[in-house]
Amino acid sequence: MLDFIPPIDILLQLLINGVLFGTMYGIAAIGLSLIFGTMRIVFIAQGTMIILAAYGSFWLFNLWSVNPYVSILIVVPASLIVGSGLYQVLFRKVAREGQFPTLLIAFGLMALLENLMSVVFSADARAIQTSYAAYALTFMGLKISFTRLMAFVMAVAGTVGVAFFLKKTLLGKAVRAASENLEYAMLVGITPHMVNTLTFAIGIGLAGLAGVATATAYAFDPFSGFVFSLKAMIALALGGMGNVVGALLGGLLLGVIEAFGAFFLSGGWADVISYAVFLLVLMFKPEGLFASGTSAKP
Amino acid sequence: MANPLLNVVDLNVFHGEAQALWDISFQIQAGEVFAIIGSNGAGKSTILKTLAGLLRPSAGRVEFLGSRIDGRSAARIVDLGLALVPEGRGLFSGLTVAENLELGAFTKRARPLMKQTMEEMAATFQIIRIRSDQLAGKMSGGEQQMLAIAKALMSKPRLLMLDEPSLGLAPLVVKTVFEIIATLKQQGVTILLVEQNIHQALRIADHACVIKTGRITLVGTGKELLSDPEIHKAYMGSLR
Repeated sequence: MLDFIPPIDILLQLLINGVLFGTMYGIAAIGLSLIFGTMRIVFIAQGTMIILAAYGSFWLFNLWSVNPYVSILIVVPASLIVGSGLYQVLFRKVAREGQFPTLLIAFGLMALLENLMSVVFSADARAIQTSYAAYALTFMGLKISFTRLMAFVMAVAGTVGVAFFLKKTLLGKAVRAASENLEYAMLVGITPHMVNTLTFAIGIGLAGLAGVATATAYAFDPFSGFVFSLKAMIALALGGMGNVVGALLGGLLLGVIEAFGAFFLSGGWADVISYAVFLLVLMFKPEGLFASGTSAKP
Repeated sequence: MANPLLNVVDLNVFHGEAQALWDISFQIQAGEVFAIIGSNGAGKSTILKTLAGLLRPSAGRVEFLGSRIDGRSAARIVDLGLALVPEGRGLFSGLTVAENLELGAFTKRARPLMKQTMEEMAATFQIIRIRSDQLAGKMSGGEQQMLAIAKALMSKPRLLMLDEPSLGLAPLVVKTVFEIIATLKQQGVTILLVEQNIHQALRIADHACVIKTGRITLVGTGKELLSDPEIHKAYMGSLR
């Protein structure tokens, strides 16, 4: 009667694969969550920023043999600078104009970067080929890809770092305060541009970290970012807007749903299930499964 | 008379197309309590929001410690020493009591003194000592008002502006709030108080003005206005 249920080791392997892949959605979702939480900007270019950072890590490795994990020290600071620059140049003036103009700007940025990367780097799929790229740890018969495990560790470290920043530092508390009530935040001396610049920098900094993780563990091309952004939004819907830990958990849950969906049905069904879950959660639990409210929380 | 701490001259403010304030002028001396009284929608909160930098005047000027501050950002104004406790209390409900107080000292001027000021607030407000880890949004209205005043004091204000501090509070709590205002006055804190509880406000105020549909209609000492028959007739008949 229960013949369709595979052995426990296969179920565990699916769970591990789903969790490892889901962290990529999760870390992308955290960046989106921070930016939306403080500025109400749906930054649909977040996935494309991840791919841009992945190219950064890829070329650092291919041109100058910089170890991809060492490239974090270059890619993440560069992403922080790019993030604050993007806010100043593209969003500062229109941040108060509402969500539609900012969504259009984010969409335009995504299209621009996708095509620019396609022209400059070609549309070929890329992946960093290190000596340890195919290495897998074996534990109780379960295989865990080393690079995917490292991607998971990087995502968790990024989440913990952002949660620590929001919870323990005065600037982090200022970001939480501004995302809860901007007018009240201004009355204690917090300037919207300071908070927005900081949030954008951190959001794109996380994209940098996710980019390195992507380049080491997965294949990517200039157009992979859009799907990343969509999946990050589903993770956000699952985890709840403005909740950092919830966003990561939402990503993990989405990864697991996809892994099981692809196994029990087929690869094509994984996306169908993802988007169906997205709609169901928005219809029946729009505040997300793990959070309440829309302000930035650790 | 000494130079005023705050000098408001011919202030005009619009809400979109509609004019909310007409030629508002008054002065506040250091160390005094100045009350602005008037009915709902008269423009009292608009005055405070303009002084705090949340609204831009279309005409007129605001001088604080002899320098013009109209047109400056809210962040710059609080750093100069004007702190506003707005009508909704201005607390961050998802943050703890301690976190709210820390953010109260966010300005460059107040930040180095944060620890010391926090200890002073804990000595003054019992609620801060015992509830520092509680979320501000989970406190009672009276407790929130105490916290809101303490949060504003964390910025080491030269002028504390309170917008309807007694609004929505039980009579016993209102009494406590006014006792705190009286204590602050004794400590030399300059206070600009906006209240609908006119009797209490005028009793504590050194000077006050009455505002009606965006215009100042009466100015005087608290005592003078308290005994003014027009004030009694218009505002206090049903409030006393």
